[in-house]
Amino acid sequence: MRKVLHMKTIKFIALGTLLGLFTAFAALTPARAEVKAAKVAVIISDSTVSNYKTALEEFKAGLGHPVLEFALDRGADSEKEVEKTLTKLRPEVIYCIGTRAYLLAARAAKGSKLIFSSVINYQRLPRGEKSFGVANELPPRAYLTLYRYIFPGITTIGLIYSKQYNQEWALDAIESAKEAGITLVARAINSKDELPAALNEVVSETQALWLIPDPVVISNREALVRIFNTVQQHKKPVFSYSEAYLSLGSALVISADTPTIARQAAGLAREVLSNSSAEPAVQSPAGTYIILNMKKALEYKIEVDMDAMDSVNRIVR
Amino acid sequence: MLSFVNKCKGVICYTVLLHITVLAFGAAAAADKTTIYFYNPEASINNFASLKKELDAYLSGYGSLQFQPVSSPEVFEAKVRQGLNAAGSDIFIMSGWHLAALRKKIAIEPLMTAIVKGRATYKKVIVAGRSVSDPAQLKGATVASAGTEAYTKYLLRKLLGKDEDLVNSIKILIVPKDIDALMAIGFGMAKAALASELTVEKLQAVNPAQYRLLNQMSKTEDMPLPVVVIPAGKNRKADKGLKALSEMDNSAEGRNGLKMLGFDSWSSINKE
Repeated sequence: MRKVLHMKTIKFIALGTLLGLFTAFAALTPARAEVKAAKVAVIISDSTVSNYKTALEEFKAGLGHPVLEFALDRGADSEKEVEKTLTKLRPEVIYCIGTRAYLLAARAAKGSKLIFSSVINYQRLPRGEKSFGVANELPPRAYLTLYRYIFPGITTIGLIYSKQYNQEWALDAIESAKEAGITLVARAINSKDELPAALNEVVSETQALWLIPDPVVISNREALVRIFNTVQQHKKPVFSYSEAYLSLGSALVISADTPTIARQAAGLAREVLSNSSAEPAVQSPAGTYIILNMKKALEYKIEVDMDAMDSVNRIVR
Repeated sequence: MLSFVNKCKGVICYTVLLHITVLAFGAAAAADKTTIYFYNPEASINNFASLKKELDAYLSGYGSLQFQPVSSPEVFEAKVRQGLNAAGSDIFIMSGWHLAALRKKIAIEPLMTAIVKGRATYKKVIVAGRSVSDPAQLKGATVASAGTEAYTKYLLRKLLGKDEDLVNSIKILIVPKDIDALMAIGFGMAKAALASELTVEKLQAVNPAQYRLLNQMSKTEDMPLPVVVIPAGKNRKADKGLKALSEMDNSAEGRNGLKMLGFDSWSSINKE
């Protein structure tokens, strides 16, 4: 009888221990999942912007494991909540889509490594050794190679820029143009008042105008309209960097490809998480998005290399 | 009051009947429509909206035909397996690589091949910076490619030998097009890139300085260009669609569509 009791006791204790272990495991598991999920967080500046949403989805697909997501488009309260959550969870890596997301993460999560994308002019951001990202701007060489790729007959292009904002970029563009067999006629302006004269000069000497994001050149909408009107009066095309200029008559739009940028960001995140050296810390975008305004190309009788059409994302007729 | 209620019932019944008829007619019409499905794992460019618009505009001259690019291999394969609509006339444009894989599972028959510069084949090249000459230098490196990850790995095995460890160590960066892959080397985003031989030649023409910075490590043997396929054993209900495709290079609209697909024309595959 005592032996039987002894066995029963042992079984009871064993069962109790197993149950206890199971309960402890179940209790711990959500916290472990939370910690694992907190390894990577994504902050999206505005979830209504389709490019930002695309970046988010491609990043998640490229990273291949769960992320914590935050969106900042619900007013000041949500920023405070996100800051509190980030401070509490301390993610190892935060992918910031847009400037607002990056600035918040830089304030609230000083111990986290930050990866940015979809930021205009990233050099303005506060960055340290824990900051990584993908620029939004393609290098000049990318534009120039693609101009020749699509319009092989274009060998002279005009460029207006301000020394204040784009001196280095313009010098890089002039050098890169030589490589691509293009003569780049570049004119620097110090104020918006100098734009009309510079515009007339470059347009008369070249086959096309390359419009770049420069706040002195594009000081307001009036300046923008003047640029397009002047160039088009000379029956010459404008090459630009934003789809927004199609309605003004841009003949070609080349911009960075958002899904590729997000894949690059995912690659950076994987490097950072595995403690590999992520070099360079800020990458150029590796993909391009091209819109060809065939209507303008035909209007200005620009030779289009039809063999390049499979590289064009969108054709406007 | 009762007659009013009865009138209302009548109107409601008539309206419902009318809607059912319209829907049924629409469904029947849709069922008779031939869809030409297109999936290409060898390119990642997102140009589906323009591609569909251009091809639909061309095909509208041939009756109830429509073009449907597909981004997912699973969806595409499901359509191929389905293979049947009411008229049994759907057509599929697929890469040579994909055809070889699908033929093992599904009874399909290639009828036409794409032609580029007079050839039904093309070569793929692996290109790296000038300092890279040995495949071993690509261990753990980033390789840019415009194809899907699966297709890229298939090419890497062909081009780098059967070193599975080397291929698996490579980080693949998917970019929209071959020219992006080549430029990625110059910008330091990739150590090497996969591109078609034609794209490499084009880069040499448009930017010789950038081309000179590159080293062609190896190239594939001739690989088949995409083909037009129908489910095997189907009778010639697909003739209208096949005719439309075969005549694409006879019109400006058709040629535009071909160029967007990356081809010059279609050619019948001779059966031995």
